[in-house]
Amino acid sequence: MEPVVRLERVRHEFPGVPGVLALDDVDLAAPPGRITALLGPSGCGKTTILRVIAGYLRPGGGRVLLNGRDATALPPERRDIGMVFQSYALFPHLTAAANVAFGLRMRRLRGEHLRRRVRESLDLVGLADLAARRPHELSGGQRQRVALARAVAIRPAVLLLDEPLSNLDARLAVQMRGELRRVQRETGLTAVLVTHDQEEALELADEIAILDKGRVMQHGTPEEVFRAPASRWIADFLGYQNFLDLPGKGLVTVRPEHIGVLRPGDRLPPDAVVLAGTVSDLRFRGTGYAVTVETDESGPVVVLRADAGLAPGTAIRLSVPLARAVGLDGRAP
Amino acid sequence: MSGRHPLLTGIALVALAFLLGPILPVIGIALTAGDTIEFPPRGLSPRWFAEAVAHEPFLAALRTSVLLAAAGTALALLLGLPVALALTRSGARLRAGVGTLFTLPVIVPELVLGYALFQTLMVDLRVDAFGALLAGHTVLLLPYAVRVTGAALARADPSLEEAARGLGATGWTTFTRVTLPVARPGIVAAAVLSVVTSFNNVPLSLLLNGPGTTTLPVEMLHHVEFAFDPLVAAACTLLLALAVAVTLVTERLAGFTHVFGRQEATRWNR
Amino acid sequence: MWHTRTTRLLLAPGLAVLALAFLYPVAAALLAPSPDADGGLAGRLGALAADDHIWRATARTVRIAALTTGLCLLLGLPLGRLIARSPARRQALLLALALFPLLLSTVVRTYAWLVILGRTGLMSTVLTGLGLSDRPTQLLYTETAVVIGLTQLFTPLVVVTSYGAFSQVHPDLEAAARGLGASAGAAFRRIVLPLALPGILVGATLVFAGAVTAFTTPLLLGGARTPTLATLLYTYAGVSVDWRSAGAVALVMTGVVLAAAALAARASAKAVPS
Repeated sequence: MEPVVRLERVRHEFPGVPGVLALDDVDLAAPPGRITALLGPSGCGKTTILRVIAGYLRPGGGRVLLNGRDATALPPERRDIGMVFQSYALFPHLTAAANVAFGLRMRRLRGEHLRRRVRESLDLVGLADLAARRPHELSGGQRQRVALARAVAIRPAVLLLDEPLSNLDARLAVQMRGELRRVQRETGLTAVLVTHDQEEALELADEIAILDKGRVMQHGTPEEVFRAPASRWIADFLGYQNFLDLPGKGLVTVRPEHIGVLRPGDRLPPDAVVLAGTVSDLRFRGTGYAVTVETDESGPVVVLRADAGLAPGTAIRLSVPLARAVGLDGRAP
Repeated sequence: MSGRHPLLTGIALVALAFLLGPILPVIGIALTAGDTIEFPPRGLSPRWFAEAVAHEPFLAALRTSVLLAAAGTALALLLGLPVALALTRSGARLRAGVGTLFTLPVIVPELVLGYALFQTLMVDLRVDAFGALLAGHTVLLLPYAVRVTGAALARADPSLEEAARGLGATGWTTFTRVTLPVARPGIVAAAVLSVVTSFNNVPLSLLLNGPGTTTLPVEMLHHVEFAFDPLVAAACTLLLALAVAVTLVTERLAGFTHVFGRQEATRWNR
Repeated sequence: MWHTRTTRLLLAPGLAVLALAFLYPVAAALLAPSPDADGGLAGRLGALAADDHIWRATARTVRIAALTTGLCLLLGLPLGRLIARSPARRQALLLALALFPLLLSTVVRTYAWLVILGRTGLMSTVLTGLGLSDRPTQLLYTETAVVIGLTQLFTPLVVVTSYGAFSQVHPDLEAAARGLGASAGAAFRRIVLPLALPGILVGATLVFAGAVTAFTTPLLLGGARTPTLATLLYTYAGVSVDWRSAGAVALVMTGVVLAAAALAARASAKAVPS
């Protein structure tokens, strides 16, 4: 299917820092009706990409296509985008309803037609009761919803979400993920989500592009990216802790929950590598204990255990199932 | 974003030229060898500078102005800093009431204040001209002292003083070692603003003069009223050089736009 | 929180000076009778009613101040906006350039216009030189000259207040408006301007009040033929020593300034409810 947003070899220099690329030949496609997440640490260029798509930033090179049409030179008001800003950017002098109505008025909607669309949009985010409030009379979560309603009200070609949940406290942010997903499903909008939170990206997105230093490092479904990170850097960023250089397999990573602890007399499982070491640290992690084992050959390895039975200083052996080891060699750095 | 409007940018640049440009011809006139203000100047000569720095009325007025600016600023700070301290540490009601009282001198026209001081102090109470000038300038500068130092104090974290007390400092030590250094940028800004405001003032000083006591701008004004020679152009050029020097020193000391770009300082020169 | 006694002690000297050197003299000069019996407030109002001069000067002063305010906004707002939108380095430089004239006395800045607008001044020379005028042009001693001088005097006030006001408007708000379909102009009109309006009104009020009370510029550029309230007050108090009329002018001048400030405060409250 024709992607709604397509970037072709987009490059951009940091203003005032010639030669240093904020975006380095970025190719990207956002397929219709899906959420594409741009995931990366701060300064990786993800917000720059969003601003290029929205038209707030004219890239130094490359093309931006919206629904197949070259939009590189179009000003933002002619791109048909709905953007949710990290700061929400709600107009402080307008009520929630007037904020939502703003884009519709710009599209020459008037009267009953306008009122109905505003009501529908506020209903969609569950804020119909608060239509007459001004932004400063709303809570953080409510402002977030108004910003979302304002962006979807115009039924944009693409919904752009710039770290939409980063200003909410942790619990509310998790709750809003579900809301965001529901609104996107109900409206069927194509969305591009910028986030630095890997959990948020995994849960919300249909596709993830991982960015670093202005380049797309890996692009795939959440499962693909999570199960097979393309490099040590990506694995690191996704929260993998154990990096082992195994004979014959090169550099691999294994999740803590997949590593077993061998008791004296246990039989060696097939297709596993055994590492000997000493427990150096034990930390309670809610659902269990994270045990750090200083191994003789491979440095520190973290293992997840249900109980606190392994005291620091205990000498143990670990079994690493090769089937669970994700190879990181021979791919992009 | 694309939308920088060429017409508006054009107007902005014209405005900047309009603000700065007109002073340049004055330098040309100051350098003339002729006897009148005319364009183009007749030959080049430093003679009017020599005459300006030797012109006794200007020199006497300069002495008055400098003394007045220094004394007025010192008094305003001495009176204003305690007020600012009291206001930052008191309740909202007192702050609103007394705070408003101290902004009044900025609202009442200076010419009216000068007229009022002339009547009550000079005519009724027989205070001499310098005394009346000092009273007027102190009152005029008081709002800057209160508000600019107050703004610096208000920005400071109140827990700084609590921390100092908690670490064993007495009230006085806390004041001299913590509060005063924290307020320093505000005090510097208020002092610079006050000196400039006092030194340049005309409407307040206009009526408050006596034998041998006139401020420099008023003396220059009277000279311009009656003589159309380039003497004042030379004096203006020297003051322009002084303003450039003040700009550079202020920039070094506290940041020029920090001192002169503040909202509470926008009523300071007329 | 300090003891009330300390607070009182800190406030006392400042309040005393304020009362003696400001509140009492101003109240006495405006409202109370003075020793040489000018009849007090009633006498001043009587002088007002009788003196046609004062009313003509009031009308002229308000006219000049209104024109000046309009021109200062016209020039100052684009400059304030340009500065607010410039990168940090350039911002500081432009702001310093716009504020620099404020360091010069009004006498210096007004004198510059004498040099430019006078009969043998720069403009006259240029106009005759270009053949646009066959005799020396005299703009000096007209209301136009006063308005030009005052506009140059007070534009920095609009620049600094509007720069502050425009800087307060988060750039994301304008970006959001553009994204929602507003052109650059519409985004400015509907979002940026309403949000900056209170600050702009402050600037406008400062200019208006400044122009109403300005003395040097109307004296030097307006001359004797175009008296304003300020020059009239000076004439009555300093030259003809007519206390009743001087008091009357002072009263009108203060009234006009206070009325303008009240009007602006009202408009500002209306512009941004809550």
